[in-house]
Amino acid sequence: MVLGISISIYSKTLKLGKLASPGPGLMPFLLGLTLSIFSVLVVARSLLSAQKEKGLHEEGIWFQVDIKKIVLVTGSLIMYALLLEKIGFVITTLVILLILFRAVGSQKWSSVLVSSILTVLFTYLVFVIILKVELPYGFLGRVGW
Amino acid sequence: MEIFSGILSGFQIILQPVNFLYCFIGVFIGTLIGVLPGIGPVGTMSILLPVTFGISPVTGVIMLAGIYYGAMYGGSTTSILVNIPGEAASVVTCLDGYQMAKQGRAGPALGISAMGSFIGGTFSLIGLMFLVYTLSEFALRFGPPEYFALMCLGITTVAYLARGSLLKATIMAVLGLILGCVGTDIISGKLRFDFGISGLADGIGLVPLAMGLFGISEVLTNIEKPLKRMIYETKIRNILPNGDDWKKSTGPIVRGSLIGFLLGILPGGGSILSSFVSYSVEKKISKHPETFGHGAIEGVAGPETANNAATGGAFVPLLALGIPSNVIMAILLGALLIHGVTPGPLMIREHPGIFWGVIASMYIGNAMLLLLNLPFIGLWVRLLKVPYGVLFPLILLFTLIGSYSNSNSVFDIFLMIFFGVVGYVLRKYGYEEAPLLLAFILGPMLEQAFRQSMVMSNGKLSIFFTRPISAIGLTLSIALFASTGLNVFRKTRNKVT
Amino acid sequence: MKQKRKRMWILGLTVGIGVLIYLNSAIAADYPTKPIEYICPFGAGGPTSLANRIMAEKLSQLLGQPVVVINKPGAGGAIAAAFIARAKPDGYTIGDVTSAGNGVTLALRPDVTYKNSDFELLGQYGTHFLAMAVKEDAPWKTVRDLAEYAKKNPGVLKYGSSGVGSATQLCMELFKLTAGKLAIDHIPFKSGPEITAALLGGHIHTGTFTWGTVKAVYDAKKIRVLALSIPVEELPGIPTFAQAGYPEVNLTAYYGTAAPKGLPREILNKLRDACAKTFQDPKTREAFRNIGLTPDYKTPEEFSKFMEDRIMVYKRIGSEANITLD
Repeated sequence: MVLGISISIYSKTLKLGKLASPGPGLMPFLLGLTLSIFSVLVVARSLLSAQKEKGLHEEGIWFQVDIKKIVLVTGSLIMYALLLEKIGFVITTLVILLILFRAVGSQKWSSVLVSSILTVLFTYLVFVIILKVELPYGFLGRVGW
Repeated sequence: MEIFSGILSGFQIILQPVNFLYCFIGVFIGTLIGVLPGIGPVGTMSILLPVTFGISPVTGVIMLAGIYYGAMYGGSTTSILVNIPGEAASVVTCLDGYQMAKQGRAGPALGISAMGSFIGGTFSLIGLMFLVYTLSEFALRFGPPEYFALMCLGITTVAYLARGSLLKATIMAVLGLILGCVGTDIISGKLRFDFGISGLADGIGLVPLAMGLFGISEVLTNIEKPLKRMIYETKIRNILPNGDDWKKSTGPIVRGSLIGFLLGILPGGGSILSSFVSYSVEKKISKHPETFGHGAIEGVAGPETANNAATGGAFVPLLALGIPSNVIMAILLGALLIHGVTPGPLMIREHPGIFWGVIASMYIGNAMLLLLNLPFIGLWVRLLKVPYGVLFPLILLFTLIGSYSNSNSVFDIFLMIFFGVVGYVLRKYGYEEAPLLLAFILGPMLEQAFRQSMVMSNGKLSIFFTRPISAIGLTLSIALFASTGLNVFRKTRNKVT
Repeated sequence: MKQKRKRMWILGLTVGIGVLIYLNSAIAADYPTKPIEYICPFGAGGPTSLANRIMAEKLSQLLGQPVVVINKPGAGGAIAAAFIARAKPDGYTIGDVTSAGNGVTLALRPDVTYKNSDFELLGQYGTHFLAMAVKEDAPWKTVRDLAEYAKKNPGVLKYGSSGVGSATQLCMELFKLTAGKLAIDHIPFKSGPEITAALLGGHIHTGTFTWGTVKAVYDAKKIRVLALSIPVEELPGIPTFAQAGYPEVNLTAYYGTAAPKGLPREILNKLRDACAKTFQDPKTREAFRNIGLTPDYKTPEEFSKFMEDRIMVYKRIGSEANITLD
């Protein structure tokens, strides 16, 4: 498992920088090199320790991980980013809060609705009015705030 | 004794109701934005700048300055409570502060952090008052070679931040350095690693990176298991630090003040270094270095003091020479210029009222902040008891808003999410995020300083050793690096045999 | 029956179109009805952002709606420029055009997504002139001194700039070219204050600075200004490059306002009018001066021609001094 990560890092290092000589390429090149060296070390180390502990079944680090939740959260974050400027702050925030509170947080519908609306109002108050931060309007224009 | 009459007049100015009020407003807003991740003092100060047009320059600067160090105070709050650094300087506080919160000791962490910040801030103010001009001369001696040495020192301390595998931490650091290369190369103007995406043309933003790597990945890590088995100890032990905490923190606070102040006076990045140099120093001289990273209060006391001391230090170049040491100071400079006041050596003579008024306001501001923050500790601690299922959407929301409001760019939000997921995966494999972030910050500065020095010396590496300050810095870094290397070598040798 | 229906349709359509036209011009006549976004190409806290906020105050008064400054920094002003060029031409998104994003970037960057013809200019509001400065105790008292020294000692002198492609670099490069291909090495920094600190600390020997950056240390007599790129009335004692014998070095960084092309005529006129008033308003000009920006109003036509000229100059400097941005 540790192997997996190390290998992916290792392959990343294969992209060398541009031309060397104290130009823009020197640093990335050196860094790429360093990274490869270190990843090899990590791989080596995990191989060594794996040999020692052969027979012990590690609890995989992915054991009992609720992947669904992770995906859902990540997905809703991405959706938020995509829709934010199109639909505007208020609506998008409301939607994501509903999703997060309910689907991932397993709260009751009643409290979900209440807390989502309250949060949206609260954040609007703090950010837009007090701090005068610019949050997108979206195509609903003034209606959607 | 001119100084005393000056400071006295300063206090008279600050105690005028108008100034007092604006100081409070500034400090309050500052704390607010410090607590909210992503929104930094820069954005708020520039938005509120027009407000200062209508009031007197003293009042305006008092308010803006208040926002600045208020944000420094507030930044540690999120670091401790939810492992999201309020700004670059609070990253280090996340390491032990958050661990303390997990152990139910959020109160003491916040308390010590507030006290330390207060002491650090006040100390640097005293230093500022007396040493303003001497220090500015010293600060000017730092040219590219000196900065290079400083950054080297900084990078070697990064490894010290590791609480787990040193090797993995180093890998993260190298990764951080690589990420720092993304963007427009400062020296040649060429774009590196941008893959044609315009959002990357200026590199990866610190805010999306930090909030993704720390905040979002933390949330993901927490929700992967059923929420019932949730984190925060419900048994919150003390709200305030106890005697033992105080004893342990005194040393770090004293050292942190000095370190922070000295580093803060350096234009361009000194204050960022202050917190992790302080952390590394404390870890190195501690009798129990293994507690660091798992809730050692020294790891909170030192850095927090240091970064507030650095705030005072940052005013030195501005007030003494008219050179802002970072973007925030630049806004203050702008505010002063708009009012027709030119900061610099002449300022004391021509506008003593403003000079002393601002300094006095910083004392009062620090005191206000202490009074403001302490009662809130109880509130924050209670906040932690809220079920995570309710808490985490709010945390995520704030990171989203914070990241967007920082740059008005949806791309940054994507970046943040990306790093959040990456950070989550990396964590599972035992890779820590702090070294990456710090290396990311230092890397470009290191590279820039190196290449600038090369132009200065026409390609001769000897320039680093012929100049006293950089020679000292580099020797220190090499020594530190060697000693760490030796330790690792010894440890692996023992393991293998 | 079909005839009648057809006529109804035509009538309805005509009325409909008529109403729409009326509404459109009514809307234009009532412009603006909501806040206007002003896009600033540099970061919050920088001098450009400050200038924008100063202008926004006055513009808000004149237009009757808040003008909100939004910072979209990056790529030397290109991100903001691209954003403005692509925005809806409804008058609610306007922003800065600068010598950086709309001059140097267009001249020196190979793959830019916008052109100056994508913009509807509203007027220039100010310029930064450049000042060549050395430390107070430096041995050179005039520009000629410096040039002579550089000729006799190639590769010894170093100058600082606020970044590749910045006005601070281009001006110095132009000087080097016209003074006889001087060999003064370029050390880029990230910002104006950094170069000032480096100059005072003796780490670089000289540079061509924008005024806002060095005003404070000049007043404190820590630096000596050898020449200015254009005549400046507040600094009568200092020669211009032209007076010192280098007439081609008259670069300035310029700043103006624009909207995306395609604005309805009425809105365009309203904006141009408001800008003209703001940029010539004495209080605004005073504030500009205080932050080191020289107020300099140019009408959209003058400005447009000026920008074209400048792009030619930048191209020349770029090719002869081998500066590219990619």
